[in-house]
Amino acid sequence: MIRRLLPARGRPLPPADGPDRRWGWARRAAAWATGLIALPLSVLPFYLYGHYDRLGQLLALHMERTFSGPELATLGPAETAFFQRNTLGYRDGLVVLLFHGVMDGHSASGENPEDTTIATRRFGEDVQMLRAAGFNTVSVEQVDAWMHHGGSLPRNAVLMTFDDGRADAMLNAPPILSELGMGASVFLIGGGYPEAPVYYASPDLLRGLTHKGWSIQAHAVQGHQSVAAGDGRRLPYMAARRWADGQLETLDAFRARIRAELIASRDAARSMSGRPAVAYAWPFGAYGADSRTNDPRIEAIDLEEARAVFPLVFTVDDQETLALVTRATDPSRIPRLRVDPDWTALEFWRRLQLLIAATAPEVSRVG
Amino acid sequence: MWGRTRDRLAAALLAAAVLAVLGAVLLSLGGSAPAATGPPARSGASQVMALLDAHPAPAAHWALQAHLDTVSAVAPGWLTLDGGRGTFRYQTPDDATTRFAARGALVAPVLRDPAGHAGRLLRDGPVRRMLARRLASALAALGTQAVVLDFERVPSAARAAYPAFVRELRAALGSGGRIYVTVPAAVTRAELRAARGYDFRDLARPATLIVRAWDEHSSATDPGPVASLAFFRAAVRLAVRRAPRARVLIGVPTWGWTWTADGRAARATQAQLFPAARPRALLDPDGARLAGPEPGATSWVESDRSVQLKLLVARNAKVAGVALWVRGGESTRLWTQPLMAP
Repeated sequence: MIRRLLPARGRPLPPADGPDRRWGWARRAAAWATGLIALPLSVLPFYLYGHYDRLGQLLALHMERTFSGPELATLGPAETAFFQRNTLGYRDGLVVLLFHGVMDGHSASGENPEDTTIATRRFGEDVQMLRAAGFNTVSVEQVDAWMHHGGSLPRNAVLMTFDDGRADAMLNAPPILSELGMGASVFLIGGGYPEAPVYYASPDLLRGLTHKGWSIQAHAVQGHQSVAAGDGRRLPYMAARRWADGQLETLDAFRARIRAELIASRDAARSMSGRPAVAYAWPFGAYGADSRTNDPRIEAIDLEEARAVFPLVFTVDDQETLALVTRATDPSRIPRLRVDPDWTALEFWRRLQLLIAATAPEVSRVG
Repeated sequence: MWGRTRDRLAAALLAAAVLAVLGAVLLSLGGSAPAATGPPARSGASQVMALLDAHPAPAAHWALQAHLDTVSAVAPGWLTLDGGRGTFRYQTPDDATTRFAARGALVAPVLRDPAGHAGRLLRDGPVRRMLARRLASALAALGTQAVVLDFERVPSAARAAYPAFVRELRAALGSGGRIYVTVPAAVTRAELRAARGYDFRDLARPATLIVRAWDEHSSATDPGPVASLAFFRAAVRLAVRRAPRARVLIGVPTWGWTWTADGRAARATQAQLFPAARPRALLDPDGARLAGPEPGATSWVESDRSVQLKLLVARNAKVAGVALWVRGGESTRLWTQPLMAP
């Protein structure tokens, strides 16, 4: 068989463009067709990576935001009128909202599998609701002045906070908030960007936000992780005595570690914004006040150390029974409402109404 | 000849077509009634209200889940007055209650006053009116227009202010608003004196009364029945004498107490106490008395028979319905008997 395919000995090989020349156009056409079909297919892995992989989605988002901003969702006139007419008003009080990520997932509705990431469209609807309902965003510095220096807050004051300084939130939320004339504060993980530059917002991006009225505050440097806490458990860095060399660190060592972390966090936030950091938010909301601790004395130590470094300290305690922040609220335990990514704008509004109706010292109708 | 036959044929066809259309309409109506998403069938005008703790035990949810077709209203203890300024603590709706509401049960959150703020608050007109507005808004945010006001100690000084508050709340809730007010089962002279803060007649105009026909004996008393039959009858008689029957729900106890030798008492469920009860004790119309389980301890528990008799008293009194605490651990027989008149 092979012998039959090989040219017979002594017989010259046919020239390359010899007898096959008449089929050359067909070969070229086939090559072009294959190329044309293969070209879009070669893009497929990139598309799948940018669409379904978390890191790929973030890279795609970075590229997209280089050219265009996020689309601002709009509320219908009936919804807007409903929020305007029915929202309760309060004075001399504050609602603090907590967000983490703002990004579209790959589901049809844009929702994310993570419970800390709100879809961009839903975030847009939420802030439109806040706007229509007459809520007024304030800065952390205004809150500090109100709680400690006799300053005042506008009616229906709301402080929007973003924990971690994630790139998705910093790329999507600021354009939407700017469009509506609203500002927010970021609780920054110092040193996060060099370790995960796609996941965390770049220093340039964050500094740019400070020029748009955003505030950079402290969240962590080393503290956004867990530590070995004995019995094979791992607990939040700020809420547990560390287990090392077969024993728990002493309370003095724990206190020193916490103090160093708080100061480092403050310095990281200050160096980023160029302004003093006045507020701190516990990583994972953990400071020994719940079951995520291995020593009941930690809560008191954490609060004492945090008070010494920051005028304002934010928690995520008591989500089910959250109260309006007033001047009587302990400034070292300011509760924040974690905005559930699954809430519709109406559900979010209802949650705020319940909080205001039940706990505001005085209530009235805004509309 | 042919023309007459043709006319008859046409008439028959027309009649058949009309019957077919009618049949289809009736079938579609009949088919839509038991739709899974519609509210479950309720027994006439009788109401059965299930009272729930703020954080009910899973067993309570399972019991309700299984017997929701018997229950017309669910009253979770979500709201608690926490000061004289009319603010209150709240719980957000849990998934189970949301499911109950989706199945057609009326959700009427309970506003409690364990610290006794109500008296002072009710007498302060502006604060009272503010509370009415707050409560109406909070209920709207919770997705309901119904509430149970469970103020256990209203002083006589607030006798006129309490109905005024209920009227104000009724106005704030709008036309769909439904208010239930718990009132004590005042039977003895001392109890009647203590219940002077409750103007049954005036309260029953804008609201439905829930008579707390229990705690004849409790942690604050010597051992005895939770509600003897005589006590229960008297409570019902006095309630219907002072308020329209259609505005009265009777609270029926379904639990027991265990008093230890050192004078302490703890609430116990029927499921906990029934196994230790002698069969004969379970026939006592006042509830079953048990010795133990610890030495020197005494328990009293509502038996199936005592609950059955109380329900009979309520039915015979022709009141609007009954209210039951569902904490889990209630006897399964509770749900297999008619809770109110069909």
